[in-house]
Amino acid sequence: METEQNTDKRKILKRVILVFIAIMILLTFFSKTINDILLPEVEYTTFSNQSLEKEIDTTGEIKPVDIKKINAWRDMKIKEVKVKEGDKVTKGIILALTDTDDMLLKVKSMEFEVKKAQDEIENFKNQFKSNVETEKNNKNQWLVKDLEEAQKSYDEAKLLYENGLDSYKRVETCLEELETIKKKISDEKESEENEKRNQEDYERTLSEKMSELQLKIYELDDFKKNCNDNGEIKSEFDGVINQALIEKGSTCNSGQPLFEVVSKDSKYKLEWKLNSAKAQILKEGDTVDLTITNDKEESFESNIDKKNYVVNEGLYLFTSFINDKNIKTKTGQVDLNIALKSKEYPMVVPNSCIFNAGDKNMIFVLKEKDGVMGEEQFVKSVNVKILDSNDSSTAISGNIAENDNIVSFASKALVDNAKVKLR
Amino acid sequence: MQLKRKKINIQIIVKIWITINRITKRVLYYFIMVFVSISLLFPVIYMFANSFMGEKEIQKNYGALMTVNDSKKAEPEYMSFKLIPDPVSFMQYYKALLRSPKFLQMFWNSCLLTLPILLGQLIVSTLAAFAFSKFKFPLRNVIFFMFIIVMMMPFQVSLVPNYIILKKLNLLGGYLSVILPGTFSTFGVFLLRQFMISIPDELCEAAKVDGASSMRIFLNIILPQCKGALASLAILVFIDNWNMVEQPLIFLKDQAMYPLSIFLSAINGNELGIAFACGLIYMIPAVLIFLYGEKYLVEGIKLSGMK
Repeated sequence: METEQNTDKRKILKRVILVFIAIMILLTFFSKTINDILLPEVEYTTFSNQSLEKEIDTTGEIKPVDIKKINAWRDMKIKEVKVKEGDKVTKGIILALTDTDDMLLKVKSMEFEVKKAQDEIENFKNQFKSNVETEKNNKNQWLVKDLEEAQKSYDEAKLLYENGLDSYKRVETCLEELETIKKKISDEKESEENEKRNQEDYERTLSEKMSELQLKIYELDDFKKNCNDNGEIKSEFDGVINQALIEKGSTCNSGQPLFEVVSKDSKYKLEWKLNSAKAQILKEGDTVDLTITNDKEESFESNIDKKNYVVNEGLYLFTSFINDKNIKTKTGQVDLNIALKSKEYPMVVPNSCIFNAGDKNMIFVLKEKDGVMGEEQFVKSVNVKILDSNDSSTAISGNIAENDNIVSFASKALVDNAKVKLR
Repeated sequence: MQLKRKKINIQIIVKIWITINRITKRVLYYFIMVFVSISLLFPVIYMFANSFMGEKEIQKNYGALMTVNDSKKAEPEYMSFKLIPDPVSFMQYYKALLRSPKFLQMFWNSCLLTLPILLGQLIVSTLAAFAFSKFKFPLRNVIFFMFIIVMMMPFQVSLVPNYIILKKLNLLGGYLSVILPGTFSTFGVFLLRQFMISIPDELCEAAKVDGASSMRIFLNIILPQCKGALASLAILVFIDNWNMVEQPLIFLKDQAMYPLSIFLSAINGNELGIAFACGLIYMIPAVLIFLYGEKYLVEGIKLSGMK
């Protein structure tokens, strides 16, 4: 009985052993294949010595620098505008036509005002002369004559009285007459002084009126001179119309701007705005490669001339001048790509090479070793310090050899010493 | 009558006392045996249970053990201790058997090293034991005494001489560097010699009289009677060499030639779950061999006088 049990047990054990060996053989046959299929696939690269180009995409506006304005030299009503924005103009070309009826009416009105002022002055002069001058001369002559006669009568009466030939009453009468005439002469002198003051007032008033007249004459002449245009507004210089500030039927006051004309030799500037995060990449004086896209793409190199903070928008305004004369796009909104080159770094790798582990940055270096199943690839993590980066590449420093293969892509998350296979 | 009744009562009391005493002893005996058995089996049970735990559960239970070298994390005083997986997971076996081709390669390396050693030891030991037990030659006992002394020394003592000899023979780095020193074991000679001594010399003399040569006597008379001892030696040699670590580490240069015992020691601390599974798989051949030859092992040891 015991022997039978032992025999059964050994039979079972034999089968178990055989099954175990069979399973191990089978698994050995497939395990490497399965393992290789499931290993993370990696791609690798090596670091390079290069500068980092930081790119920013935004929109900007191209503006001319030298813009001249054509202002209205009189009040005018626009009859027709002959040019539009972007039109090239030469000196003397008609930009717009104005209504001339109003202009003629205004000339007549101004001429009437001048005439009126002239008449006023003439009347003022005549009035002053007729009232004062003749009368004053006659009066003075009579008073001098009366004074001489009164003095002579007084002297004769006094002599006669001293000789007793006449009475003292007669002397007193002559003296009274003489005093009366002297008083009249005194009054007259006072009157003359008053007249003199009046004369000064007259001359001042006359001068003012003459100046007023002169001004009106000048205004008239100026208006007439400006009205020699026959209602035509002409360009004063060669250039391109940047902006037409008037339209048909509009009225303009004297001095009001009508057209903005970009000078033929004007430079152009490119302005763009960036938020603080992007703006910190660029600073005044940086040399950047600018690519503008409007209808077509154009690139040029320029310096950043200004960087100002626009307080009410919370954005930074950058300005660069376009010195490249081959740039065809002259004005308006453009899509803008700004590329800033950094200094050269000895170790630059693609961004995909950098892995974050908490507050540390690391890369995985591809290594090879002779394993049980032949040559095996595995990855070794190396802590690195990030010096600079852009959208595609990162400058690093760390303990990396020149020929180290750095993992740039992994199909699965990697850990230190993880076995991998090449893609 | 009263005396007779009194005598019967005393007999009953004595019987009850004896019975109680016997039961108490047996209970105590079983209790100690169960306790010892559990203590001895516990590592195996523990390994078995944990090999079916998922990665998260292993991390939860033994995470502190895995991060013990991380100075940033405080080492906890106690760790979780679980025997029942929740839930049962075969992920560790999947990883060990299908995601670690290295493990299986090393399994076959172990077989490649152990089986030749086993075969070689059986041949060498039986022949040597036959000589020591059935031939009379000068200094036989002295030489055998030296065998016993060598057997009593830890095998690490002979590692350096072996290394030098292997280097001189230009065998270092190959499988032979492990197989050859393993083949010549004093323990096997001792075990079989003890067994062969118990075989009556008359049998050999009778064969000699019938004209049998020494080799014929060895093959036809001695060996058939040594089956049990050979089986027990085979089991012991297999287990001993299946678990060897130092010899392959020192004598082998190529990792591709390392046996499974080294794989276990090299498993990363973060792969504790795989270690449990690999340990269990690693144990299976030894257990199967033991179960298969259990009867011979006990018999062999009993007959060789080692018990």
